Amino acid sequence: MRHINHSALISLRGKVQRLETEGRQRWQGQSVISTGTKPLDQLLPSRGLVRGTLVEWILGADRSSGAGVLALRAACEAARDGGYVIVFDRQHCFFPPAAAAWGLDLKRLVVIRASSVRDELWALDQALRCRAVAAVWGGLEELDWRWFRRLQLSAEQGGTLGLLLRPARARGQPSWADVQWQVTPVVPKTERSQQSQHELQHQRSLWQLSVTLNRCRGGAIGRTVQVSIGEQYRDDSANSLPLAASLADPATGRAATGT
Amino acid sequence: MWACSRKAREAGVKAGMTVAEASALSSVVSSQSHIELWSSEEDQMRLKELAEWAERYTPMIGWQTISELPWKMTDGLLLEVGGTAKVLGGEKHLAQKILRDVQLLGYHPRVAVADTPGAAFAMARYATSVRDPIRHLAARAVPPEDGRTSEDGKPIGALWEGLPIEALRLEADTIALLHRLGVLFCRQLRALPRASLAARLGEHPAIRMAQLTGEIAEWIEPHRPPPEFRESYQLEYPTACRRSLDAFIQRLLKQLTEHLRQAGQGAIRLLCRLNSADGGVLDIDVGLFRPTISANHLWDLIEMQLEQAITPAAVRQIVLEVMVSTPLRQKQGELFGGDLRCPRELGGLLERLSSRLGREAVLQVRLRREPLPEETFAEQPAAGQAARNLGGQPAHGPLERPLFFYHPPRPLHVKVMKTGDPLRIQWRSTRLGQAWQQVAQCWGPERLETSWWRGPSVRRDYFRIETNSGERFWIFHRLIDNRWFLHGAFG
Repeated sequence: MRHINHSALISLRGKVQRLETEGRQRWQGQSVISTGTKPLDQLLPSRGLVRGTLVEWILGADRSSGAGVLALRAACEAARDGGYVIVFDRQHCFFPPAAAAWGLDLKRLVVIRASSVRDELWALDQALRCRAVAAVWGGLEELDWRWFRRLQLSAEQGGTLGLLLRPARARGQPSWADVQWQVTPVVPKTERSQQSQHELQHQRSLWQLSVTLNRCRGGAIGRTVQVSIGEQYRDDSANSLPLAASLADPATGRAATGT
Repeated sequence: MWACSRKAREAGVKAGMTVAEASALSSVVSSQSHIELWSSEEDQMRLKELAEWAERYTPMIGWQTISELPWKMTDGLLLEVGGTAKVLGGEKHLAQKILRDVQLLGYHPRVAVADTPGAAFAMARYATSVRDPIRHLAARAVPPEDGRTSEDGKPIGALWEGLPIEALRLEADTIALLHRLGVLFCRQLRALPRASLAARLGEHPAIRMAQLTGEIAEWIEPHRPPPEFRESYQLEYPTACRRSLDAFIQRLLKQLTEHLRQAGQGAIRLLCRLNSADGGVLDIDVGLFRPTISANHLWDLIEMQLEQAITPAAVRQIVLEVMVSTPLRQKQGELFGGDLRCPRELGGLLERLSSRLGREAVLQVRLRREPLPEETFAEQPAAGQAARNLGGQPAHGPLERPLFFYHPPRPLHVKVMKTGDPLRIQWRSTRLGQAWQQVAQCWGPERLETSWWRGPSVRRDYFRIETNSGERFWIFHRLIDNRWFLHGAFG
């Protein structure tokens, strides 16, 4: 058996890491983009998402798990400095009035409805490469690793945030995304609690989601937080926390947010 | 009922009936009756296609609308054949050719050739000889005392005299009034003193009559606005060679952009048309996000589409038309601050995307104040627009409308409580199969209905529901037939 040269291995690893992060360093100096949801920011090493990277959001089967909304809020945050948001909607189901209600500026929104997967990937690549685009938001059912790598390089080149909504089966697949979130709704509880009726009403109208960080370099992988969404993001720094959310362990999380 | 087949007509079905009446009648003769929904947009689209197709007969094709008067019926096309009929073998031959060609497309046209648009309209629709679909030269619309004869040698003028007054394109009220007065035919109307006619019925009948006989000239409203800038090149020998075609198009683009530059205009929408020797046409529609006079940029966009298109066999003529243009504006860049992101790059991106995916695939959005959710936003192509009207204030809070909207809505089985709120739902879904899902929470009902003046009323009770797995959906109860539908998912 040949002797393994440890110092060579370490230097190689360093080289690979430099290669991988080379493009990203260009955007590292620029301000980090909040996800629009504070508990999620706290799980990330840079306390937010970095321009020029891809972020995957694992969706429920019926697009009803809340992942789309969380991703859209990150897109709104990215577009705060005047960039455009490009929505890819091949399935013809994106509803602009709801996106506007979540705080997206429709004047700087472009919706792309490609007729084939091939065209959509091409358009996605073009949009990520464009410096005038702040964020790209869209669902991608199938994505082979070559295209994935290509999209990641384009995002890096253009400094665009790519928010990809992926099906549940994308979880175990190889990924070029920097961050992967899995979003599942919290099962609503029906038993009565000590809280006042009014408070209960308010909390019930909010949407309780449980978000797990599946993948992130240097992040708290595997951690789950519960967030509740439902109020529009307000644009004043004094009150920039729109959530009634708390960071909690998965085990104690349910008990803490018991409704 | 708008129209029906011959078999249905034999069973007594008539246009103007309600669908229920018609289906009851037609079920007597046949168990298989098929009802197709009529859509005026679809009609207009087909008519537009037909108008473009008919450009082989004449460059001047108009809608049958008269813009300054209330008549807005566009179920026909007006072809100005005064110049082209001679070239194409005479009026009679041309009319027969058009009739045959349109029949081959699967339509049942009525064709008439006349001296004025008014007479052509009247003869195509109201001439009595139904057998002969061509009322060729039947209405040489000069006054009878003129004494002219038609090509066939028959005395003219007599034919329009016998036309009913409906042929005059009058409003329904005016026609009803004239009928009550006993005026049924054009000759009766003609005989009335014009001054008193105008005092009682307004100017329209007299104007229409004069337009029919050609005493007043009438404009044809073109189906395609005449291009603002146009360049064309006729090839001496038709060619299919891409390299030479590329060179010709580039040369034309240079000439066109030079004209644009002199006029201080920038192109927003450009049409490149290749006419082939065998009658085939290839249209390349290029839309731009910002006005441009750069020939190279326009060529890049045309080339992108040309690569994907199947070029016609042998191209005879190349036409470049600027359909929309706006004044070029110079904007000074800001030294400090300002828009850090690059609008020029965005324009380039949207133009590339529109060019490859089609203008209709790259859209911008405007919100509208309408009750029905499917009408609360309007889309317009991002490229090729001279003016944009975008944005708008959302009328609802973030969790009141779903981020994913399923239109048309998907049918749903729902079990309801006594109060009318949904209790359990079931639909075909890959994951859930046919399982019933319990509704854990629901908010509603929110009733959305259309205004009575918008045609058949739509009434729906919307509920936002959260299932026992925590997922949120938007469902509605259609009150007219008591059915439930899934209309969206909350993200």
